[in-house]
Amino acid sequence: MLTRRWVTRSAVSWTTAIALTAILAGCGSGEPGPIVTGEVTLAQYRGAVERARDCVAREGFEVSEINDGNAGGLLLTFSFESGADPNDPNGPSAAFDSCYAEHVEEIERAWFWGNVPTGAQRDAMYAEFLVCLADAGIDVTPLTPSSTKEQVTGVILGAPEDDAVSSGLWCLDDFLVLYPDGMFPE
Amino acid sequence: MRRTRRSTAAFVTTVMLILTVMTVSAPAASAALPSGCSIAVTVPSTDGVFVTSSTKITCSASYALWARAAVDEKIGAVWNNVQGGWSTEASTSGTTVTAYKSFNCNGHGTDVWRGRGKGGTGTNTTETTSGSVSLTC
Repeated sequence: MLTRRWVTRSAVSWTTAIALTAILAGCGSGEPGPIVTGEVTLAQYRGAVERARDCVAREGFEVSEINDGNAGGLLLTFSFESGADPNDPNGPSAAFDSCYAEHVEEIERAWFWGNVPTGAQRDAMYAEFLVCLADAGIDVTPLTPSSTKEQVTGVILGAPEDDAVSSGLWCLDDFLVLYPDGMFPE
Repeated sequence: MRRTRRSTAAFVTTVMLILTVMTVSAPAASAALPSGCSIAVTVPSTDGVFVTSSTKITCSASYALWARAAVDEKIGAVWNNVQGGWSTEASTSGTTVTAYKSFNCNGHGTDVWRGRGKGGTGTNTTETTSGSVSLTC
C-alpha cells in the first residue's frame, strides 16, 4: 500500500514537475517548450514544476513552496498571490497559465499517462478507493470496478451530508488516476 | 463664518482624500500561508449535471481558517470564472477546512474545466488551481 501510494504520488509529482519545467523553460526565453518523449522521471517532473514556479515569480507574483499533496500526490503544484479579480488578464492566473503551458503541460501529460495503473494494480487501488469512500461516509454499494467517473461522482454528490461530499471528492482526487479519461485534453 | 465653512469643507475634503488614499494603498493580503499550512484543490468531476471541485486548507497548528472553491471553464484559450462565483467555508479554530463548489453545468456540453481555490488564515491567504479535465455535462 505504501509502495503503491508512493508510486502514485511519484507519478503525480512527475506530471507536475514536467508541467512546471515546461513553464519555467519558456518563461521569458521566447523559446518553445520542451518536446517530451519516453518516460519522465519524478526528478524531471519536479524540476519542471520548480522552473514554472520561478517563471511565475519572475512575473512579479509571490509563490509558495511546491506542494506534493494534490491529486493523490501524482501532481505537484504551487500556489501564488491572489488577485482581486480572478479574470484579470494581467493577474497571477494569467502568468500561471502562460508559464504552465510553456514549461510544464507536456511533461505533466507524459508523467500522468505514464503512471495510469492497469490490471491487478488498478484492482488493488480501486479497493483502497472504496475504503476511502466508505470512511468518508459514502454508500459504495452502487459502485463496481467498471463504474465511470461520472457515476462515482453522482454517488458522492448524492450523499446527504456536505462533509461526506467534501471528503468523498477528496477520495476521488486521491485516486484520480483510476479515471484518467479527459485528463490533459488538447 | 463663511471662512469657517470653507475651512470645514476643506478639512472634510482633505480627510476624505486621506481616507481614499489609505483605502487604495492598503496592503494586499499576504500571499504566504503560515508555516505548516498548505492549500490543495481537486480536479473537477461531474455526474453529468453538476461539475464539482473542492479546496482544502491544512495546517499543522490550529488557526481560524477559511477556504473558497470555484470552478473555471475554458472558453477558447481563456479560463473564465463564470460559474457562480465562490463557495466559502470557514472555521474559527482548527487544522483543516474544506469548501466545495458544485455548479449546474447543464447545457455546457463538453468543455475543459479546472478547480480554483483560495484561503488561509485571515490576512495570510493564497490561491491556486487544479489540473484541467475535459467533462461532458
